[in-house]
Amino acid sequence: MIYIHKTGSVNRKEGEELDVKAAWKVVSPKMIRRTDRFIQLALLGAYKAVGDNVLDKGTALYMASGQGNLAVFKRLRDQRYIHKQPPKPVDFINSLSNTAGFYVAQYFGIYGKNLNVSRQGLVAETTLLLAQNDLELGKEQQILVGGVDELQEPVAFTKRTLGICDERLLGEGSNWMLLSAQQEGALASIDVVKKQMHAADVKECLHTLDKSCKVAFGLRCSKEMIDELLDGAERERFVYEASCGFYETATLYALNSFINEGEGELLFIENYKENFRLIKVNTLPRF
Amino acid sequence: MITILGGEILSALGEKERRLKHLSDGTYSTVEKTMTLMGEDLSFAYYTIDDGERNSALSIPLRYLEDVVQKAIDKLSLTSDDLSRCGLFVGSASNDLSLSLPLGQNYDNSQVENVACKRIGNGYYADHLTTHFGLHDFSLTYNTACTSSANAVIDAASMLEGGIIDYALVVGFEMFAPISFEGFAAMQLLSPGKIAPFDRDREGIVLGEAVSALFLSRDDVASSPWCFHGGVSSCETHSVTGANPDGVGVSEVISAALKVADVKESDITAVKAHGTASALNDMAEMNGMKKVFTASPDFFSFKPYIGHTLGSCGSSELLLMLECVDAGFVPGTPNFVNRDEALDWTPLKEKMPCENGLFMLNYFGFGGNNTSIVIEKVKS
Repeated sequence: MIYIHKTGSVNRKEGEELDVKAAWKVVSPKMIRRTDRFIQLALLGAYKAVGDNVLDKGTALYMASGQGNLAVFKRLRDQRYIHKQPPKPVDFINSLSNTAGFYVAQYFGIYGKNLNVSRQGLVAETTLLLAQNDLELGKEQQILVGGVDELQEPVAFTKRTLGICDERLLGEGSNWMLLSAQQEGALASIDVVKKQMHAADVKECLHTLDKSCKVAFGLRCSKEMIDELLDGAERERFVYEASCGFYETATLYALNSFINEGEGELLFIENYKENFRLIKVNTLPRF
Repeated sequence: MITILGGEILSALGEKERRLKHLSDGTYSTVEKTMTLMGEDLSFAYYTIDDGERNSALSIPLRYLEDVVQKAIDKLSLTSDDLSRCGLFVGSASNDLSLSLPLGQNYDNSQVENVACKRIGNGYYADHLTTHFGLHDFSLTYNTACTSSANAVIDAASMLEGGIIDYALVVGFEMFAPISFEGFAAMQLLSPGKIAPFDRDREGIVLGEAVSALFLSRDDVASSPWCFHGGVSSCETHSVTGANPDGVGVSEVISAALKVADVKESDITAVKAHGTASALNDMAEMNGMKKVFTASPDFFSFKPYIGHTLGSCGSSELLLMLECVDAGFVPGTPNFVNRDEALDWTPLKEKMPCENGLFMLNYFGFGGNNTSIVIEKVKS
């Protein structure tokens, strides 16, 4: 079993305003010059989780993202193909996907393993499974897990590249949690179910689930899919979707929201191409 | 115990027989790539994939990936059941072409309607390989610059140890990318000529492309004379562009790797250095090794053979290491001529007979990412 010790979220739905640079400048005016909005978004979310607390220097950092820092790629594209200029060194460096993780590690003074991972769908769930495995095996003592996705204009183009073909709004976010195998002082326990599941497995799991356990579904679960999975069973839902546009790592926003707003047990269900991952979160008494 | 089963690689060295001859003889071949930078025409050496039919059927990245993975599967006689229990760990420092191509065409935002409503971008290659080969659902794509596929190897071993998967496929992928090439040139990191790691007169990096597929497992599932003893990855925050030249970060990761592998520095038969031939990286690497090893170990660099293949070098150089030792030698370091007094220690100039032993493989990258791995080939 592993535990969530801190959570922090920055979340914006399409149409809402979020001045990341201004917000981060309040925290660290020194770390503005070489960083871009994606990196500042990562820093701001991690700061919301960790604040001014001092982390153990060996803390690992696993940062997940659906598409990574696309804005810097666009800047490099424009420099090369439109302005016929070589890449600006700061943009070239920031185009390396682990640059955001570097600045987060630098800000918090941590030197542990620093990963930047991506995946088509289920990227947060898979990263959490990796973190859980490393903590359970004792390979890491503490891991700062984050998911960062930045909303890109034009939104219509971005939606299509994400495979979102309906009218829903997109969003962006930087959601972080500090994990360890130690229960003391934890906000919640978390169990990423190791088995990959299909719809029939999920249905069975829902039927045997304790009635007190709330259920939440990921943003890639359609209404029809949810109805099919619930199969008429009445489950108390944890609803976070109203404040969240679609982005790949929104799972971490949902989990953080439950821990901050809810109490009790949550089963979170997400899928990609009908392969399901389940996460159980159980809040712990807070003194 | 985590076993390393082997795999396949596509690089500038060509097919196995030819690449072993190059590695044994200390030879290599490059092509010339030109670019215009700030109005100036520049040319640099480049290690391009030599598949014998460039620009034909295999010119598409997905076909390269499929081809390399299929050859590895065939070589190891893996079954569809084996593959269904195999997680996928892709390491690459490149932007995914499936998204970067339409993004490149959409610079004036006019292409919205031309893009199919289908998830593309990061993870596309992994998703394609998972579906194409019927792999386990677990996959991640790593982008930690030059340590990408080395970190993928470490996590693959961890997931095998945790019993979540029974096989792991690590894919290192790097192909020519103009923006990356020009970015390195703009930062004045490219050598105008050859790549000469650890040499007094080294002038910088020569880039290359490589696609490699490496399979791992556990000894209770699939045995192999090669095993993964352990690896450590860390992030030093001295500079976003690399390790601290004083070697502290490098020495820490090397020491930690020896500790998790439960071996002493004196047990190491040879070190595969990162050896990029950049002035500061070679300095950092040497200073780091000196803090750990009481005497110079036998060390060498693969970069003069296949170039710096960035995110692919983790798995690609590991595979070359297996092939060389299986063939009875550890390679030398071409282009090393003059000892650098500041570095003091010198790499192997010529190949060294070697059929088994403990080997350390080191990788260092942008973002302060340092990775060290210890593997062993046991005596048959």
